[in-house]
Formats: sequence, structure tokens, C-alpha cells
Amino acid sequence: MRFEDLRLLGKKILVGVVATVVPLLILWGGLQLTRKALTGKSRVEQVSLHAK
Amino acid sequence: MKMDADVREKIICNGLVSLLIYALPVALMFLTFYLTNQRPWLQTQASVPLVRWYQSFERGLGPFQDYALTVFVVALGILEFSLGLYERRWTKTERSIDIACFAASYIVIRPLTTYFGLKVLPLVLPGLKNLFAWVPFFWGVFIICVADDLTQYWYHRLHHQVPWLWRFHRTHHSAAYMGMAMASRQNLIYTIFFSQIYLTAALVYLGLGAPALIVLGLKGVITTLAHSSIPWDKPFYKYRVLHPVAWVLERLISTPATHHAHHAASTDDGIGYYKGNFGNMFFLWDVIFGTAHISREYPKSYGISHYRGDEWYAQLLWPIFKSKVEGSELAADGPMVK
Repeated sequence: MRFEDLRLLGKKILVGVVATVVPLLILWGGLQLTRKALTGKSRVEQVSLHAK
Repeated sequence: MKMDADVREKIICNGLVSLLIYALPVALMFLTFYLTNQRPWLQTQASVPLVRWYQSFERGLGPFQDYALTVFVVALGILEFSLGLYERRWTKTERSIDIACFAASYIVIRPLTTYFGLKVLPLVLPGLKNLFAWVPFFWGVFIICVADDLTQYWYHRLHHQVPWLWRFHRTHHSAAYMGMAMASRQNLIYTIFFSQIYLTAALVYLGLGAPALIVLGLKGVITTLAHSSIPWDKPFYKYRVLHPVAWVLERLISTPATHHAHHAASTDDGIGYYKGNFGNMFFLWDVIFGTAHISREYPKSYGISHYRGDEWYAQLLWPIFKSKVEGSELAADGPMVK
């Protein structure tokens, strides 16, 4: 194995890491946002119902 | 060798569209919850009948429960052999490569992914186990179907379209035949760094285990059948009454016709299309990104036209071990892409 091969392996691993992390972050962000945004919304609705 | 400018442009464009597709299942779930006022994280999850059925089916397999897909692959392989579908193409070298790759997936890949799920993820994402266990089963299946298979589509496509990545995937295409023998034939480094394995393992850790169980079972069956040398999709093209089903089927999932075209030795006959048809479980990605080629026919020859039978160890572990075949892409002084 030469230095060139190691460099190639490093680049290849980087591609794999990016292809894993990018969708994971999108899903993570989306699922967290869903929970937080809708929890906030239901709290606001509950508060306004109690106020009535 | 450099990548063509138009290929690079398409990769960037399609990649950006993919970011939206990844988000689509979550966006639709959000919209549904918003409109129907559902808040599943406030409830305890009811067990899903489909998962219960699948788990009891796995338990019914007894000692084979961890190897259900392997048993399916071996049974299909025996059927292919008994039908004489490999003819004389399964030579000693090819046999060694196929068997070494098949064994490597059990000796290396399974323990590695298990270790990643049980040891690495709790360190990387501490305290987040089952954080998203509230995601309803149906939405979980939708999320994992898209996440896992779209990631594999990109991993696969990049190994074809980025010249310096091609040699990691070459082993899968060097087989001059289709079937169970070559279905798991891959360079070990290509398989170890399969992005979708780690993505799905992370989603399982975060609480989407039950949907992953169903999706991976379904995916295993579809991708195995797409590699099979038994053209099970032929009746759909032959009988007129089945044509509407064929139209949907061949655009939705990988079939022998579309996936065999991807493994063709040549594109000259208008059937072979190794420049596209990258989809694994879903063919829909190829349709969306314009990499699809549907002919409803099967290529006459498979493999790589300039392949001269590189040694099993070079095909399994390039670039750690190099081929001694002169002029081979896997040789120490070989060209990057021929």
C-alpha cells in the first residue's frame, strides 16, 4: 500500500461519512422540530382554552 | 481521469433535490399531525400487528431466525444452479471471489455493524436512545424507506460516476453472470463503508427499530430478486393484461430487467445501461433523477468487457492488495478507469 492508496481510502471514507451524516441531520432536525413546534402549539391552544 | 462537467453538475443538482426528498416524509408527518391534532409523543405506543406478525414469523424460523434472508438466498441459488443458469461462467477464480465475499459479510460486516449499534452509538449520541420512539410505525417505515434506500442510491451512483471511487465497486461488476452467487460480491472496503448501514443503525438507536425491521426485510427480498438470474418479471411484460402492473412495478422497485441492464457488459444493444439504473430497493430514484433506462429486455452478456480475471484477494481487498493481471484497473500500475 502506498501513500496514494491511503489518501484514496481517506477520501472514500469521507464520502461515506458525509452520505451518512447529512440525511441523519435532516431527519434529526425534522423530527425534533416536529415535536417542539407542535408541543408549543398544543400548549398555546390549552392556555387559550383555559383563559376562556 | 476527471469527472465530466455535466455529470458533476447533475450530481450537485440531484443532490440538492435529494435533501428535500429526505425531509419529505418528516414534513408530511408534521403536516398530518398539525391537521389532525395528533401528538404521539404524549401517548404510549401501541404495538403494531404487522411487527407482531413479523416477530412471530422470525421466532417460528427457530435457529434460522437470524439467517432468514441467507436461507432465502441459498435456496434461490440452488434453484438457479439446478436450472443451469450459470453455465460455464462460474470458474474457479470467480467461485473463490463469490465465496470469499459471501463469507466476509458474516465474518466482518455483521459483527462490525452490531458493534457500531451497541458500543459506538451510545458514545457518539449519549442519552439519546429511543428519543424518537414516539414516531408512529407507518411514518417510521416511510422515513426509513427513503433514508436507507436513497442513501444507498447515492453511495452506489457516486461509485459509478466519480472516477476515483469506481475501483471500490468494480468487483460487483466483474462477474460475467447474474444470480445469487454474485449478489453479495463486493470489495470489502466498499461494503464496510456502506453509508446506509450506519444511517439506519443510528435511526434504530434513536427508536425506529420496529420500522427498520420491516424495511430491511423487504429490501433484502427485493434486491435479492433483482439480482436473480430467474426473470420473474417476464410475465408482467408478456401478458397485455399485466402491462399496467408492469408499468408501476418497473418504475417503483428494481426488477431483474432494469438491474440486469445495469450489470450489462455493453450499452451498444440498447438494453444494457451500466451508466444508470442505480436503484437498489426502489427504482423510483432513477426515474426522479433521470438515470433510468427501461427496455423490458435482458442483456446478452454481463460484466466488464475488459475484465481478465483478477485474483480473489485483489478483488476483495483492493487497494490493500493489488492485482497481478497486467493492465487491470486493480493492478499497481493500472489505469484508473478503462
